[in-house]
Formats: sequence, structure tokens, C-alpha cells
Amino acid sequence: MNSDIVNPKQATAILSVFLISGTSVTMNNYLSKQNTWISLIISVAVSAVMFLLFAKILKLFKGKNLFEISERCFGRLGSKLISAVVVIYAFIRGIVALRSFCEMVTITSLDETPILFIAVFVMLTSAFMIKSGLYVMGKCSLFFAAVIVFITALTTLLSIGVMQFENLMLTGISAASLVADSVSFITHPFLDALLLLCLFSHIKNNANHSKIFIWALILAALVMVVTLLRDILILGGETFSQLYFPSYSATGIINIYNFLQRISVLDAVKTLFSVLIEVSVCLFCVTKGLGFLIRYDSYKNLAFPVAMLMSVLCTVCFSSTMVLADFTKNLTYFALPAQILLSLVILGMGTLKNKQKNS
Amino acid sequence: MQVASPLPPPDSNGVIDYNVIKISADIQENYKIFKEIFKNDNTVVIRVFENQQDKDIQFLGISINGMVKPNSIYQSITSPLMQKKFDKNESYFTQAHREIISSLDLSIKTDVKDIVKAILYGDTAIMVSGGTQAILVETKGWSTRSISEPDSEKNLKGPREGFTEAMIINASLIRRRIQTSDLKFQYMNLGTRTNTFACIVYLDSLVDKKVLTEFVRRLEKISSDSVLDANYIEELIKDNRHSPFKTIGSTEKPDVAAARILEGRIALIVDGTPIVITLPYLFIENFQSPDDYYLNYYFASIGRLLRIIGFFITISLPSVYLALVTYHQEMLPTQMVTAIAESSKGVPFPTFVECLIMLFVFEILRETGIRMSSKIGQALGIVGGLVVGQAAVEAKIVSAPMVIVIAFTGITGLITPRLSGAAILIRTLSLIFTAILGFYGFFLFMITVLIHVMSLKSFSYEYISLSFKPQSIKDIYVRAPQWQLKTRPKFAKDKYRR
Amino acid sequence: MKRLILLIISGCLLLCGCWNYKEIKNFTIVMGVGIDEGKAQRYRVCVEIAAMKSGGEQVRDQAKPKVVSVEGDTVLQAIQSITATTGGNLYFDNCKIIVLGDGICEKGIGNIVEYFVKTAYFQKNIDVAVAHNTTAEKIFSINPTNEEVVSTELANSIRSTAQTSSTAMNVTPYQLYNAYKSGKGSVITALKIEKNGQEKMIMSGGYGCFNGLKLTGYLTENEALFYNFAKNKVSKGQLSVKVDNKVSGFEILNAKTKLNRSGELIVTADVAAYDGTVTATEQDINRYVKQNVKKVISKAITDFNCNEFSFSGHVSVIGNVTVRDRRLAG
Repeated sequence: MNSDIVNPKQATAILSVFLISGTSVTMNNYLSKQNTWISLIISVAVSAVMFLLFAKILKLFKGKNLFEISERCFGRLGSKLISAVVVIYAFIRGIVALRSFCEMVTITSLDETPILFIAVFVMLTSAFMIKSGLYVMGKCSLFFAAVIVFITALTTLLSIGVMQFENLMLTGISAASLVADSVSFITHPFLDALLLLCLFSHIKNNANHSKIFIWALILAALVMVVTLLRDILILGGETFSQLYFPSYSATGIINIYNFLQRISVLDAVKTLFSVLIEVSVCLFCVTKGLGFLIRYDSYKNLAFPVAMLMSVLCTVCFSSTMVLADFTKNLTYFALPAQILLSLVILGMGTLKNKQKNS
Repeated sequence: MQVASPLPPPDSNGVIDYNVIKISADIQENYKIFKEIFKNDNTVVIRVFENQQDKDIQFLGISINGMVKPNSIYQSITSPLMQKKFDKNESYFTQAHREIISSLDLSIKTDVKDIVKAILYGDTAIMVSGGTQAILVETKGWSTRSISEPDSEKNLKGPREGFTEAMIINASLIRRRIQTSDLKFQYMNLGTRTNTFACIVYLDSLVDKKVLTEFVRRLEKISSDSVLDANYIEELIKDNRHSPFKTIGSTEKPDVAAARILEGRIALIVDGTPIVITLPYLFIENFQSPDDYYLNYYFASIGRLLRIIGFFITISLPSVYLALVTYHQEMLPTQMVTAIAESSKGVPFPTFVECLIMLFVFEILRETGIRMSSKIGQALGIVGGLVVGQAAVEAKIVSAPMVIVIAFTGITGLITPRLSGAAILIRTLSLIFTAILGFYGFFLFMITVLIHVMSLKSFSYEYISLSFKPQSIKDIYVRAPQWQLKTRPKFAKDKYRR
Repeated sequence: MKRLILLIISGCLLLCGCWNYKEIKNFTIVMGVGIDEGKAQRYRVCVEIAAMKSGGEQVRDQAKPKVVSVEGDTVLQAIQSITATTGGNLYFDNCKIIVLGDGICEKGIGNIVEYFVKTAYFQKNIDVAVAHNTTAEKIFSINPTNEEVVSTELANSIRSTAQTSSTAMNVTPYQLYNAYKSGKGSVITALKIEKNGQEKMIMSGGYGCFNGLKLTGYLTENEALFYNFAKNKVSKGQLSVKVDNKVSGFEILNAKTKLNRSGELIVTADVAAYDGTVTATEQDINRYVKQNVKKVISKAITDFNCNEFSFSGHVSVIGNVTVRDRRLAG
């Protein structure tokens, strides 16, 4: 229990690295091409409202994670149902993120390595991080967040030489494509912050939860917008929307006097860090949820088996890259209503219960 | 006919329980008892002597040849006891220890166990007829190595004294540097057979009492029968037993020990070894050297940064080279690709095997250099460099870039000697993981090492804290000038100003 | 029992093989790729392979780069057939230039460009060039002067021409792909074979104009300079202003082009006179620049149907050239 308490700073770091993985690891097909950054900003504005909602849920029930909150609101049967839904969703999110990362590795550099192999290595590290506790994950995320910000700043500054500013012209802007892309951004990564409600039950120093969520949102949004802008400026709208991993190609184009060239490994490192935190958070949610469902207190023992299950399933569930891209797109339809409904319902019941308790 | 032994039989470990024996008022009885205890030990001198004035007063003196100063025994014990006149009205025992024996440091003990322990350490035991206790007089006179500069912690500028093998002398070296009654020395005995003396040193007002109690508790829990060196203790009380990183520090220099005590840490001096261990110990102390505080702060800061960078180079350079050359060749400039390809064209081994061979050879050379005497060691260095470097490249066993990489790795590995064990382990494992998955394997392994280091604790203090606040930077990554080092490190009680 | 299982699992993980482990010494490094029309099949792909001396020896004869060409129905098929002929893993990551032959450009190179953009093992910032009235194979077969690889020389010459005389431009596949997908035209630097006595040389300069990635016409070097004025890509160059049958030469120090709100192209430049016998005035230079830029733009947009710009072929041009200094000869 002691190893699961984090500072507000570490909580902000975990959340912001989790959100940053939304642009680095997804296999999205952006409809709005060179105007994707505008849809990102729109989705940030909308998600800010939802984040305040999440913070309110945590504030209403101090010291309880999402599963215990649902138990207080809905009784035992209702909480088991909700926990099962959350566990399944976290599992699916983890599998999709893991498979996207493995696809990135196989498509861009190591093309003959089997998917299962890469997945097992990533999940082993992730399970080790979980067994060391949320505190260690928080400390690592602080380090990862600093490195990610540094890499983003460095590559953006270095790439000014190859940027073509006419790529930013707002031609062909259509509200439908902007809205479609905003919705996909809102679903993943922003509303996935719901999963972090399972972890942030205990935060030190009487933290202000809304401050944590909003600062993480701002930091992640900054990094994501800068990354998107850099990619669009270097590659141009068409190429950007056709490539699965535009950041990798964009950083590969940077060339400083033939000495510093093809530094795509910086982007690979950034993706690795963000994927690790995203997969670890999903894995943590699954193990905690499973522990809650079967009333198993030392749920950390479940970390390694669930991790192996995730790596096997991510190999087996998607037969090809296109199936994965399709699935990612269709997941939006299921995920968005579920996330919004879940958070609104929990907040509603929570406020009711609180009023009942106070009166 | 065999005389019955006055001692109880030994127990299962072969150790005699002395608690059952009592000192009798008869000197001849005591003589027999102690002769039996120190049977077959020819260094023990047991003598019965009498007072000149009154032949009824007998004394039993026990000491160990070579552990005591004979002159002081003669001057302060045997001579006055034999010559002075005893008053018949008072107890002879009380007169002996109060008026006759002229030594300042004496104690009275009843338990045979304590008496035997004191005799074994160099005290002299005196028993007087009529007394059921023994007087233990301080007469330690064993010889010890003189104070010299330690080989492993050399300074450019600053004090050159090093600890010796005698605990008393080491304690005095620390005491001379911190002259306050706040400095506490607590004696302990460790090891059931060796009964090694150890001394815990700390500053009462600065130390964290929780750490102190935990430390003493762990020391008392040690059930080993031999404690010959501070490292034995280190390994028995460490927080994380399987980690290659040190969580308990050690030093051979009194100024370093005194500086650490002044930061609120606890030091343990062990008799028989010049190594003094200090705790808690943080990761950044692996990169600190006392020279940093005795030299100009720019030079010291550069040195410290070089050490940190050197550590990272030594654990990652072979892996990065391997990843670049075998998995991610697109990152190399074209001319480098052709150059490396040309220079490794005739080499039959894959790059990974070359790397392992060269690392192995380098470790052998390094270990041989330590064990050899210095004259042969120098010649071996030249031979090793020539043979491995030049001839192996020409015989096409390894390629030239590999030799450069490994040589640089080895040299940077010697910058931080305290991390050498951890560095070799991490370097080899990361090489293996890089050979499997390229840069991704390398970074995944490094993240695993990072997770492990971040979960380490040294006596409930965090082992590593990557913070970039000014309070932390000023003594972690660089060494700020003395006028800015106003507060103690954050892990200690930071309300105490220097 | 637990330790045995752990040992077996870690053994399987660590020893199961490194699929992507490639040794540099086994590589066949491809420096340049050329694509032409094939006689029997659709494409004829030729690659230039860098020469490798074996370590320590300095035998010059072995150090010549090789050119291999193979035909195939798709570019991918041709490239994989090349592996069968040379016997070695082709390594494309250091490929410096793609040369497209005249014939294939007239037929359309959309799918070729898409191939180079989407493949992971070609770098994204390769230079692309068009072979003017010749084939890519002939260009690669020119014996280079100092036994360097032809592709490196070509790539370097395009870059230096772009910098010193602004009659060429670095074009990358993804820029072409962007233009192709958004329906705009594009230009690619042209390479010509010139005879220099006994030897042959390759000159880079001028542009091939493409519409929907089909070749529609060529611009000469001089015209390329004015095209670059319109694209705001002039760094240095020269202007030879002809007034009353007298030619005055000016060196362009820097230039900038803007499109103002009323749709007029304003060309601002600083020039210096390096010839002591100049007679042209600033007005003459301005008129010369204005005429030629308008002519070239209308030629590219109207005649060749290649429109990269957001303005039409009838844009009005205003010249704003100032003479910075008149350098005296000697």
C-alpha cells in the first residue's frame, strides 16, 4: 500500500505521458490532413470539461479508487458490473497500444522480428514496473516526461531548416473532417484518463485533483500540438495523412550538415517511453480491477500472468496491420459513449450519495 | 587418574557456556579454572604472586603475551601490588582496585565471560584472594600498521591520512576532526566466534534516530559466527540483497568519514579492517570524491560531470555501437558505413561475438593488473595493449573500430571504481539485449535498470531522486562554491544550516 | 521447480534468435537508383552499387562502382531481381539519388513516387532528378572523373547548383507526393549529358515540368532561375541583362519574392555589378526580370499545364531590384 502513494507532481507526470501516447502510437487515419492540429486543439478544449468532471469524482470520494467508488454508489452487483466493463476496456486499450507499438517497430526498423517477441519484452518491463509500485512508476514518469519534452524541443528546433511553411495553409478545411478527428482525439487519449481514476486513490499532501488533471492536460496538449505541427510542416498534409507513423519519418528527414541526420531513434525512444506508461497504466487497471472482482488483496501477483496474456492476445487478435487500423477506428464508436456515460453516471450517483450522507 | 575438569562440557557448537562458572575466593581454585579455560594456549600468561609485606595476600594475574605492554603491567600492577602494605581491616580487593593499582583505566567484572573477553583483547585480569570479582586493567599493547595514505582513495590535494586496522586509533582519527561532545561512540560485539569489536559513531543532534535504531537492530540480528571485514556486515544488513548497487558506503579516509557524519549519517568502525562503513548511502555518492571539496569548484564540477558521463558511457557504449552497426545502420553517415564495412571485411566473427571476446579480454587484463606486483603489471599493460590492439587487428580476429570502442569503455569504467561491479553486469546484459532487439532492446533494458534503481532504498531513504531544483543541483551534478553550500542535503534534516 | 521453469523461459527468450541482425560487411550498398522504360517489361531499374575495398588493401582496380540493371513489371519486382544477380542483401538506406528517365516520366510516375514515399527502407530526403532526353542508365554509366560514385557526385552537384546559381532545386519524393495528391503540378531538376572533348559530363540545371506527375515540358537553366524567383527559392545567381545588344552581367546577392494582397508578385533583389563595363540601369534590370518571370510563369502554367502556385498564369509581376554595389574589375 505504501508503494502506491504518489506526489501530485508524479501524478501529473503519469497522466501527461499517458496522454502523449495518443499521438505517438496510434494508427489513426487523419481525415483533416494538414488541419489536424486544429482538431487537436478543439478536442483539448472539450476534454478540459471532462477532466474537471474526473477531478470532481476523485474529490467527492477521498481515498477511494474507481472500483470502490462504484461500490459505494451502486452496491455490490452494480460495482462488479462496472468493474468488469472497466477491466475489459483497459485490457482492450492495452492490447491496441501494445500492438501499435509492435507494428511501429516491425514496419519502420526491425521488419523480421515476430510481434509476440517484442510484445513479451515490453510487457515484462511493464509488469516489473507495476510490481515495484505506483510510486516507482511516478518517479519514472517524471524522468520520461522530462526526456519527452526535451526530445520534442530538440527535434523541433533542429527541423526548422527542413520545414516548409506553406504546408500550414488552411486550404481544404472542412468542418466534418475536423469534427471527426476531434472525436477520435477525445476518445483516445483524452477520455482514457478515466482509467487513471483507478490508480489515483491516494495522493500525498492533500492534493488539488483538478490542478493535477488540468496541468497534465496542458503539458500533454503542448507536446502533442508541437509534434503535430512539426510533422505537418515537414511532411505536408498528404504524406502526413498517408503514413502510419509520420513522426518517425519526419525526424528522419532532419539533416544538419550531414552530421546529425536520420535521428529517427529519438522518435522511437519517445514512443517507447509513452507506450510503456500507457501499457503499464492499462495493466495496472486490469490487475487492480481483477483483484477487486475476485476479492484478492495482493493483486500485484496477477501482474505477470495478465501481462503475458496481453502479449499473447495482441499477437493473436489482429491478423494484420489493416485490421488493427480498422479496429482502432471502430473502437471510437463503442468507447466514447461508454466513457461519457460512465463518468456522468458515477458523478451523478456520487453527488446524490454525498448529499444523502450530509443531510 | 584424570582430574575432573572444573568447567562444564561444551555445547553443540563447541562453545563453553561460561555463565555457570563462578570466581571463588580461593586463588588456587581460580588458577585451576583459568588454566583449564586457556588449555593448550601457550601465549596466555597465568601467574600467582604474593604481597611482600603479608604472605597471605595472593594475587592471580592473567594476560596474553604480545597483546599487552609488559612495562605498564610492571609499573602500575605487579610492582605496587607486591610492594605496598595492605590494611588488614579493609577488604583486600577494595584496596587493590581503589588505592594500589595505579592505572587510570580499570573496571570490575564478575562474569567469567566478560573477563575472558577482556583478556583476549589485551587487558590484564587481576584477582585478589578474598574477592569474587576480577579487576580488568587496560594494558593494550599490540602492534598495528602505521597511518599511511590508502591506495584506493588517492587525493590530489587534501589530507592523506587513512584508517588503520585498530578500532581505537580509527576512532581517535575521527574524534580529532569533530571535537564536540555531541559525537557519540557506541561499542558493539559482532560475530559469535570472532567477537569482533565494532563502534557506531554519530552526531547525536543531527542523526535520524529511526535509522539509528533500525541499524542497531539489524546489527544485533546478525547470526554469523565470523565478521572479519566491514563488507561482511554490509552484505548481511543491506536493504536489497540482490541488487548490484551499493546501498551502504565505505571509506578508508577519516576526512570523508567525518564529512559524512557531519551530514547526519552514521559510521561503523570495525576492528581489524581499515574500511569504515557509512549509511545511508545515496546513488550520487558513487560519483563524489573528497577531492571535489579540496579543489577549485569549476575544476571539481567538471570532474564530477565527467564521472557521471563516464559511467553512462561505460554501460552503454558497446551496446550503442552494436545496435548502430548491426540493426540501425541507417543512422550512420555513408562514409562511416563504408569504412566500418571495409575494416571488418575479413573478420570471421559476428560483431556481437567480437564484442564479447574483447570485453572478456579486457576484464582479464584489468584483473591481472591488480593482482600482479607493480613492476610486472606495467609491462603487462604494454604487452596487453600491443598484442590485443595491433596484432589482433592484423590477424583479423577483431576489427579496428571494436578495439577503440572497448578500450574507451574500459577506461571510462575505471573512473568510478565503486560502481565497477554494477557497471560490468549492466554492460554485459545490455549487450545481450541489444543483440536481440537493437535499440529497442537496449532502451527496454535500461528502463528496467532505471525501475530497479528507483525502487531501491537505503535505510528508508530514497536511493535516487532525479530532481533539478537548485537545492539538489548544487551538490549533485556540480559542486557549488562553499559560500553557497549553506544547507545540508535534502535527505537529511534540512532545517540545519551548516 | 519455479527456478527451473524461469531458467527455461529466459533461455527460450534470450536464445531464440535475432531476426533482424545484419552485418555491415555483408551489405551491397546501393548509392543511386535509376528508373527507365523497359523494352520487354514495364520498368527498367538500374542501381549503382558502391565499391568496397577489403580491409587494409589499397587495390584501386577493385574499387570501381558497379551499375546493374534489370527489368520488371513493377519497381519492387525489378529491385528484388537485382538481388538475384548481384548476390547480396541490397542496402538502400544510403541511397542518395533517384534518376527518372525521360520516357517513363512522359508515361507518368505517380506510383513510383508513392513507392518511394511509403517504403521504410528508403530515406525520405533522397534527391529526385529527371534525365533530360536520355535514360537514367546512360547517366549512371558515365565514368566519373575521380572514381567516385556517380550518385554522390550528382547529389552534390544538384545541391551546389541550387546554392550557387539557383538553377536547380532539391526535390524529395514526399514533396512530389504531396503535390500529386492535392492536384498541383511540380518541377524536378533535370540532368543533361554534355560532351567535354573526349569525356562526358553531367550537368544539372533546368527543370522538368510535371502535371499529375506526367512530364509535360522542360525549362532551360535560365528559365529555371526565373522560375525560382517565382518560388522564392533564389539564394545566389547571376543576371545577364541585354540592352541594345550589349550584355551586362550582375550577381544576385539575395532575393525575396512576395505575393501581395492584390495578387501581384513583387520580386525584391539586391544585385552587384561585377563587370566594369555595365551599362544597364536599375530600370533595365527591373524590366528584364519582370518580363522573364512573367514569360516563364505563363510558359509553365499555360503551356506545360504545371501549376504549383496559387496564382494563375496571368499574374502581374513587379520588379524591385536594387543595385547594391558596383564592383570594379580587378
